[in-house]
Amino acid sequence: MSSTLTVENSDQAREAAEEFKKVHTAIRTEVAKVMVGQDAVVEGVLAALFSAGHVLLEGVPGLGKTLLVSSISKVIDLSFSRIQFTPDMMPADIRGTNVLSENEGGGTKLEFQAGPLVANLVLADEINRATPRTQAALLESMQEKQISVGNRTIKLEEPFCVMATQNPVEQEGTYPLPEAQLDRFLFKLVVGYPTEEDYRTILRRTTANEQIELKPVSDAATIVQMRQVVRSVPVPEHVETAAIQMVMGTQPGTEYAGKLVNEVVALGASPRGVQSLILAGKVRALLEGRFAVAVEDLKAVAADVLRHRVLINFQGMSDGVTTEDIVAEVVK
Amino acid sequence: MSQGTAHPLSEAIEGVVRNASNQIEAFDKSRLVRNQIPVALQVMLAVPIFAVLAQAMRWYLGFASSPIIPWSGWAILTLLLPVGWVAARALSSQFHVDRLRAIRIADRQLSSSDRLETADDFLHQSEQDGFMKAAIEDAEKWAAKGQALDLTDSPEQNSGLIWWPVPVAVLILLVSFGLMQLERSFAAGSPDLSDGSGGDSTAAIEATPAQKRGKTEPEPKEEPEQPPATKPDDRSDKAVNRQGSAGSSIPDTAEESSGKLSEGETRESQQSANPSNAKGSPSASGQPSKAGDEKKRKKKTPKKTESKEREKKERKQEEKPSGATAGQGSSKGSDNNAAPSDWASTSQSATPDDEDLDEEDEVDDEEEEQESRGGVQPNMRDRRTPVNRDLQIGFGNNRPNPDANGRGGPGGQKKSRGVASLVLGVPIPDRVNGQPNKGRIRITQQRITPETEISDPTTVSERPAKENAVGQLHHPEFTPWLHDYVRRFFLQQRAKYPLNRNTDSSESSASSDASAGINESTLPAS
Repeated sequence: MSSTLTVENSDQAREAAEEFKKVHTAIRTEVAKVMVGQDAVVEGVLAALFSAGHVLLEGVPGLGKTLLVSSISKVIDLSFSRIQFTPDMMPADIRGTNVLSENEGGGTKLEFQAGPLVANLVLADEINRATPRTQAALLESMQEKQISVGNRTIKLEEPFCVMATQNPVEQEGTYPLPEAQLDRFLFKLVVGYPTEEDYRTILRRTTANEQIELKPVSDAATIVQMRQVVRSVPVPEHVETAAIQMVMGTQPGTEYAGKLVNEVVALGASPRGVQSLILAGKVRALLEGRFAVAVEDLKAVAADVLRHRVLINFQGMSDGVTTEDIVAEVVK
Repeated sequence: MSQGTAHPLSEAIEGVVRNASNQIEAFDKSRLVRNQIPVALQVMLAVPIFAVLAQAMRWYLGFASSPIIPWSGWAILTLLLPVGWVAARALSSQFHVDRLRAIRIADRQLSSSDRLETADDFLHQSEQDGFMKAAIEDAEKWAAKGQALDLTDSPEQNSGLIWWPVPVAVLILLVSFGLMQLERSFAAGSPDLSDGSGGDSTAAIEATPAQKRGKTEPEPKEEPEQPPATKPDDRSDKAVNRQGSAGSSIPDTAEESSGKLSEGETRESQQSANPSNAKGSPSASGQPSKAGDEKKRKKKTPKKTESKEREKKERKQEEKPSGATAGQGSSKGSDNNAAPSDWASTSQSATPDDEDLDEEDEVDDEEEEQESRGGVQPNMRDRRTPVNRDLQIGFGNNRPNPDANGRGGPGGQKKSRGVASLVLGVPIPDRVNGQPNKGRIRITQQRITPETEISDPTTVSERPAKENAVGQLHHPEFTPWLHDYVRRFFLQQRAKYPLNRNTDSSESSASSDASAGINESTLPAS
C-alpha cells in the first residue's frame, strides 16, 4: 500500500485537509444522486469508511440501506460483494474454501476459492439472519483484515469495510449479533423514514424513465490516503480526557458513571469505544475545517459510536431506558 | 518550532487568560452575593421572630413594663443582620480562577470549538507536526477576539431572588411592636394592678397568670365565653360522680346534666357503669342533647337491630352449640370459641358503628351460604379452574376458547419458566394451576352382545405305541469307580429293604425289582 503520510508544516496539513474535504464532498454529491435524504446516515457511512471502520445499518426494509452501500461501491470504484445472510449459510460460504481442481499434468490439487468476503466493500445484508457460527467468520476479517482458512491466511486488500444491515422488526428466526461482533462496528447508524419532501424526490426519480448512472469519483488508493490524513489529525489532551470519561461513564461502577448508568447498564463500552470516538471525531474535525479534535466532535459522534456498545439490563429494559438515553446522560 | 522563543500566540492566550480571569473573578463575586441574598433575607427573619418570642415570653412572665431592646433597635438589627451575613460570606470566600477554566470559558463564549485550549495544549508540546501548527495558526484570530472578550454579555444564571422574607419580617416586627403597645396600654388601663402594687412588676406576675388561668374570682365578662366544660377530666369526674353514691358532693353543672339526661339520654348511658360509656355520654354541661345527636345515636344503636341480632346469635348458637364445629363449612371458620362465652351479650351492649354493621351483613351472607350448603361442604370460592389442556381451538358449539391456542399444555406463565426466565434473572413464581393428583378418571362401560367364534374342528384319533424299532440305544460305559459306587448303593438298598421279608412283600418287592430290572444276578461282581 502507499507510504505513510508525512505532514511537516501547516501548509501541507491545510492541503491534506482540503483534499479530504474535496474527496468527501465529491463522493457525497455523487451518492446523493440516488440516495435521497438520509444525510446523517450517508455522512456516517462515509465517516466510517474514512476512519477504517465498519458500519452496522439498522432500519426497516425499504429505506435504501442496500442501495446506499452499493452506490458507494460504485462511486469509489471499489470491489464490492454482497452477501445475503441466511440461516443455512456456513462460514465457508463467505470466507471461501479449498476445492479440488485439476492441474495441467492431469493430477489434482487443492486450490483456495475465495469467498465473497474477499473484497473492498462487503455488504452483509441482514447479518442477523445467519447463525452465530457464520457471523463469527466475520470477526477475524473485521479486526485483523485477514482470513484464515486451514493453514492459509489471506490478507484482505485495503480499504476493507464491512457494511452490515439488519432489520429491527423481523426478529423471528434471527440471531442477535454477539457483543464481540457489535464492538467491531465503528458506527451503528439507525436509518429512519424520509421526510415528506424526500418522498416526492424518491417518487420522481424512481418511477420515471430516468436512469441514473453513477460514475466513480474516487478509488481505493485515494481512500487509503484519506485514511492516513484522518489519522494524522492530533488530539489535545483535554479531548482525550473527555473521550475516556465518556466511555468510562458508560461502565457501571466507575467514578464517571452516573446514577442511571449504575442502575440500568449491564455492560459498558470497551476500549474500542474510545478508539472509535477519537477516529470518528477526527473525521468530523476535518469536515468542520479544524485541524484538531474538539470535545464537540466527540459529542456529535457519541450516539453513533456508543449506542451498540452499551448493554441495558433487564431493569432498564423494563423501564424503557434506551442506549440513546444512556449516551445522552454520559455526553451531558 | 523552537521552545526558546515564545510563540506570539502564547502571549495572546495569556492576554485572554488575564482578561477572562478578571471578569470571571468579578462575576464569581457578584454571583456569590447574588446567591447569598436569598439566604440572608431568610436569616433576616430570625430577628423579628426572636423579638416576638422574647416579647411574648416577657409578657407571659409579667415583665411588661419595658422591652429589653426598643422597637427601633429590633428594626435596625433586622436590617443589619442580612448585610452582615452577605459581607461575612464574601470575605470568607476565596476567588481564584484556574487558567484552563479561563481559557475554556473564553472558548465557550467565542464558540471557537476549543481552538484556544487546543492551541495552548499544542504550544506546550515539544514536537509539533503540521496539523498542530495549523491548529495553532488557526487559533490566532480567536485569541485576538478573546483578548477583547466581554464576558458580561454572557447570560448569567440568575438564581431568582426571594423577596418574600422582607414583608414577612416587616409584618413580624409590626406584630411585635403591636404586642408591646398593647401590653403597655393594658398595663396602663388596669386599675387593680396599678392599685395593688403601683405598677410593680411582681404584681403583674401574680395578676396576669391568674387572669389567664381563671382561678381567682371569675370576671363577669369571661363567664359566657367559657366553654361549657369540655375538659376531659371534668367529664370523667362527672361520670365518676354519677356512678358514686348520692352522698358525695356533686357540682352544680353535674346536677343539671343529670337532671336533663332523662329526656334525651339513652337508657344505656345511664345504666352503664362502664367509664367508657360515661365518656361517650352526651355533653356533661347538662345541655339537652340535640335531635341530630339523638338520631345519630339511634342510628348507631337501634333496638330493632339489637333484637334481630340477638335472635341471630341465639339461632346461631342453637345451630352451633360448641366451637368444635369451627372450620366446617366456610374456610373462614367460626368466630365462636369452644367454651361458651358471653361475647354476644357484650357485643350487643357495645355500640356498633358502621363498620360493624357492614360486617354483620357479611356474616349474614355467609350464614345463608352455609345454610344452603348444609354446613358440611367446603368453601368453593377459592377454587380455580385447572389449567386448560384442551388441544381444540374452541369449546365446541362455536364458542371460542380464549386460553386454547391449539398447542395444548399450560398457559403462558408456565411456559415462561426455563431458559427464558433464567436469562432475565427474575424469579417467576410457579403458578401452575392444576390438580395435585393425576386428574379425573373417566370409566366408560359399553354393552356388547357376545358373538360366536368360528374355528376349525379337530378330529379325535388314537395314539398307539410306537411300532418301529427305536434303534441302538446308547449305553454309557461305567468307569470302575462308578461301577463300584452304584453296586454299593444297591447293596445298601437291599440290606435296608431285604427281598424275602415275607411272601407278599417278597413278591411285591421281587416284582418291583424285576420291573426295575435290578437283580442280584444282574449286579456285576465286585
